[in-house]
Amino acid sequence: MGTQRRGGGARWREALTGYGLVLPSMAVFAVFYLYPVAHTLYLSFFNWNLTGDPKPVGLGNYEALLSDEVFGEVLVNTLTYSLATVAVTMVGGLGLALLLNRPGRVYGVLQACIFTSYIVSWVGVSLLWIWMLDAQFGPVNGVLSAFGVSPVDWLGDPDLALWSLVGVTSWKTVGYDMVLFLAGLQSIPVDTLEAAEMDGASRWQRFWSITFPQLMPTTLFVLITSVIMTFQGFDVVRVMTQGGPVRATTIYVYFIYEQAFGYFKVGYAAAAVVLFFVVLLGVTLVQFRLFDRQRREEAP
Amino acid sequence: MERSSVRGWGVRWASVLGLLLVLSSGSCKRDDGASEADGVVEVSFWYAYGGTNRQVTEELIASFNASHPKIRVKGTYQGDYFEALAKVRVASRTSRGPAVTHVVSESLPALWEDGLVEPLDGYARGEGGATAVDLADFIPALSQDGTFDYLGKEVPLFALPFNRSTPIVFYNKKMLADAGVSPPQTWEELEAAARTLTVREGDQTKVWGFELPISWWFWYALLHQADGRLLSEDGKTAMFGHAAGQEALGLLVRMVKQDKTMKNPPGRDYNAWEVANTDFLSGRVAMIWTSTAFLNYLTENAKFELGTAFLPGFKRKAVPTGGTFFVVMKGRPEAEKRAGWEFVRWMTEPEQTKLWSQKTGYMPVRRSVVESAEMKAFYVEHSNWRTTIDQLDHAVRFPFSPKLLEIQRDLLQPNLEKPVVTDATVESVLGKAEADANALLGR
Amino acid sequence: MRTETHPTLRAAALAVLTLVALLEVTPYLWMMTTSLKSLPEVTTFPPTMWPLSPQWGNYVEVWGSAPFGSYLVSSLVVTVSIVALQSVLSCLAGYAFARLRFRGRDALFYVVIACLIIPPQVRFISIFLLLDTVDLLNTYAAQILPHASSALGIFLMRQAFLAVPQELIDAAKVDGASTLRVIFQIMVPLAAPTLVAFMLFSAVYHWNDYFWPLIVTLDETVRPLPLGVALLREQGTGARWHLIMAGNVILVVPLLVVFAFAQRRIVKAFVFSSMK
Repeated sequence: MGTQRRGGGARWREALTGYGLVLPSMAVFAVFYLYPVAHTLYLSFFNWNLTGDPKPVGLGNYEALLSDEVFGEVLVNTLTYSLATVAVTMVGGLGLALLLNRPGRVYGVLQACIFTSYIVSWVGVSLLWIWMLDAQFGPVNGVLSAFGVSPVDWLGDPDLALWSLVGVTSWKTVGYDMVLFLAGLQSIPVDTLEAAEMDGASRWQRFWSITFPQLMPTTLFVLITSVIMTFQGFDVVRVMTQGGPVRATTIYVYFIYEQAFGYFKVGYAAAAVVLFFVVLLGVTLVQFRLFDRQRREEAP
Repeated sequence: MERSSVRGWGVRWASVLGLLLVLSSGSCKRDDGASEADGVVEVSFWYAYGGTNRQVTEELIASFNASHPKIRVKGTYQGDYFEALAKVRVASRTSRGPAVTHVVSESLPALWEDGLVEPLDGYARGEGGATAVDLADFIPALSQDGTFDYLGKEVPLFALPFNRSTPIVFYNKKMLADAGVSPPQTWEELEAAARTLTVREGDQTKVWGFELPISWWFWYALLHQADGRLLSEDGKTAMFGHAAGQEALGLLVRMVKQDKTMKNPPGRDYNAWEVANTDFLSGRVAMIWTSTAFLNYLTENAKFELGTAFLPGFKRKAVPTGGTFFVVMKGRPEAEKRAGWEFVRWMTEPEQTKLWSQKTGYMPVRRSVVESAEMKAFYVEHSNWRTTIDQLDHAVRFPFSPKLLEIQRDLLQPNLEKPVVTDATVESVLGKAEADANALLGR
Repeated sequence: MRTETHPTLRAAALAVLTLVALLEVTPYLWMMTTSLKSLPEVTTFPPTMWPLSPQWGNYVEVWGSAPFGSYLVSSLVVTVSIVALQSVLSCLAGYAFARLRFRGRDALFYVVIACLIIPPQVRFISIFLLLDTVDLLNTYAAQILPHASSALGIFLMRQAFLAVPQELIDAAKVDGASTLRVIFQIMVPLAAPTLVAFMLFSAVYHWNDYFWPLIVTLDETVRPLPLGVALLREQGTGARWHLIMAGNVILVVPLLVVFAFAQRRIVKAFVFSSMK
């Protein structure tokens, strides 16, 4: 890094300063992140209904979880919801960013409109969409009926409900992806593109051989954060479908909350938390590895 | 210039931070729990009434506080019944739990068995200076003894009924009159009426004949109308998956899937009930079943004349009761518990229960109120308010099993919808639920 | 990509964008207009856009139906505290991770990354019990402390600080600047766009946080706005949609206002913050 090597005493002071600066943050993380994970792991080996004494059950909760078909359903729901939403928002976000990437007031306004839904709360959005998607008098079906489409039970049909949530989530978060992609696009040196154009490269070729590779870091960042955010989906389910119909929209975090605070099966919920964490950690590490490799390939 | 503006910025930040830390530490100790300052006992009351019911509750609390200078009740709205219950359980471990709350009937057995609630029979008799209560004046079907089948156990009084209800039929008078249909008295008549009342245009249903949330409460009614039981007489075996239970659920499956005369509103718990209410108000459905609790709301907001009726019967007529009971939490100090008793006793006195029922759709819980001249006149004017009371003749009980709530919430409620919205059969769904319930009861 | 775009292509692109923008914005318009309707109007079918006559009284009714003033104050206190604390701590730690050497630095940074992926729903049970043990439930502290530092903030600030040329730091040191001076007078101004972006994201997230207060608050005294609005969904009386929508408008408007002011800043911040 080019820092000059200093003498022993200075090194001591540097280390001390370093520790001092990270200490408050580390304290917060230790107490509010690491401890809960450890404590939850501990709780997962007990049965506890929040009022009596916890009863040790060894691996009982894990066995029950892995043989519980509801749990399997929940995993599938979560993966479906997450991957579908991420796919839609990333493609949509990139597409919108490409279209928006030009100067002019109009584009600024449009961008602002699209980004608005990101900053408003889930509570407000969910209540709104319950109305919009109502099978009988929601505007969505109202509009569709103008095209002769018969009413669709967006939230009541177990085959559709999860996809409706994917749709609502995508609607709300595509702005986030769009803004990030836009930033990424605007930091690509214009000369490279112009040079390629002069060399006769088509728009398509320019995109794939220059734009896309240069967008890799942004793409990976968006990918990682989007997967994390969708895996943590809770509010939208709680307000819109409460996990139904028939558990079709029960996703991981909602499942945990239901078990702990709905049915008072804290140990069971804790075991689910541990498994959830392991899965998410694995998924993120894989993505982070890709991210890091990308960063290193790009000579700073 | 850069430097000073940055420094100024830094100073501003530091002062803002400091101010906030002071603010937050200052408000750190918000005491909502009870304390005994200057001889006044503070009682924390957690309730789950929203909207207009909440206003009535707060009025009642204010009135109580005014007339009882030694007690100060502080009410807090905690969300719906189930959210509030979760919070109560969780908070009962802490020093910040409530002294008084109200809970749905189905959650009483577990609360009792877990030792969370205080027995009230002593207070009711007037022991220790508490104000006694004439338990005989409570309408039997609405009191604790009348609501539960104790399965041979000895259970003292620990809950007083407050907002009690039954499911009733609400129907759009004009729609039924126009179609020449009278409110159905049997399942068969219900299916026939629904068929007549459903209006379709191509593949769009303009008006549904019938709408019902596929919810535990209504299915419980149907189960008993088909002469079934939830559990065996000793409460050790589940029986709801037998023929009666299947017939009960089968009726709904038939009406939704085959006849296509019934709408199944989306959403869990009260969210589905809301949809049914709103559909009824907007004229999208001719008949719904819902709690008498919504009587005021629906009457005020309907643009048409609405009628009410008993639930139809099958082998017999049957309805469960609903709503909540007051309980006093065991873990609180003596003074609070005694003050809490005074509050719940007062709330169920004839004056208060009358006021409550007139302003909401719930029933008064006292015989003397129902039989009073004033209420009799009221019911002549407002016949719909009478329906639920008259229907009490057909009230059925809940088994006093500590697993009751879990069977309802975990095993039945999420699964009742399955045969209606998927291809699963009623036998398989109820069969599995029954097996799971037996496993649960066996533990 | 901004040279020769065929006019029809450009028009098509504009049309698509406008359609999407409309799709994003119309629900909000509808929410706002519904908040001014009376209940029977809300339940009619087909649904209407404009109220027959605006019922401004709905807002008065909502405001009076629950302690909305208190909710607002709570939201402000909690959000501002969190953002302030997170910003300061992220700058401190970010600097240490970016520019200082000490034993275990990289290991500690990996811990920070791990925390990035631990969501609140994984932590809430234990933290709830912990907070109760120290009698901090139902306080502002319960809502602020667990979020006092941000893994994302540290990550982003470290990234931004890595890009600052060493010469500037050296020059300041030669002038006798202390570490804190270096951080707040040299590093932060240069990384301002990143910091601003982070602050805005964090503000939005915590202003809208419904889950955490749901867990740690037990009554109205410290209850923030999203929770208060969610509780408008009353059961037992029947939903009063017009009031629910009014409550949601109240929840949304402060953010929209902040956003409108800061919009240009945010975009600029993103353009400069290095994603590389």
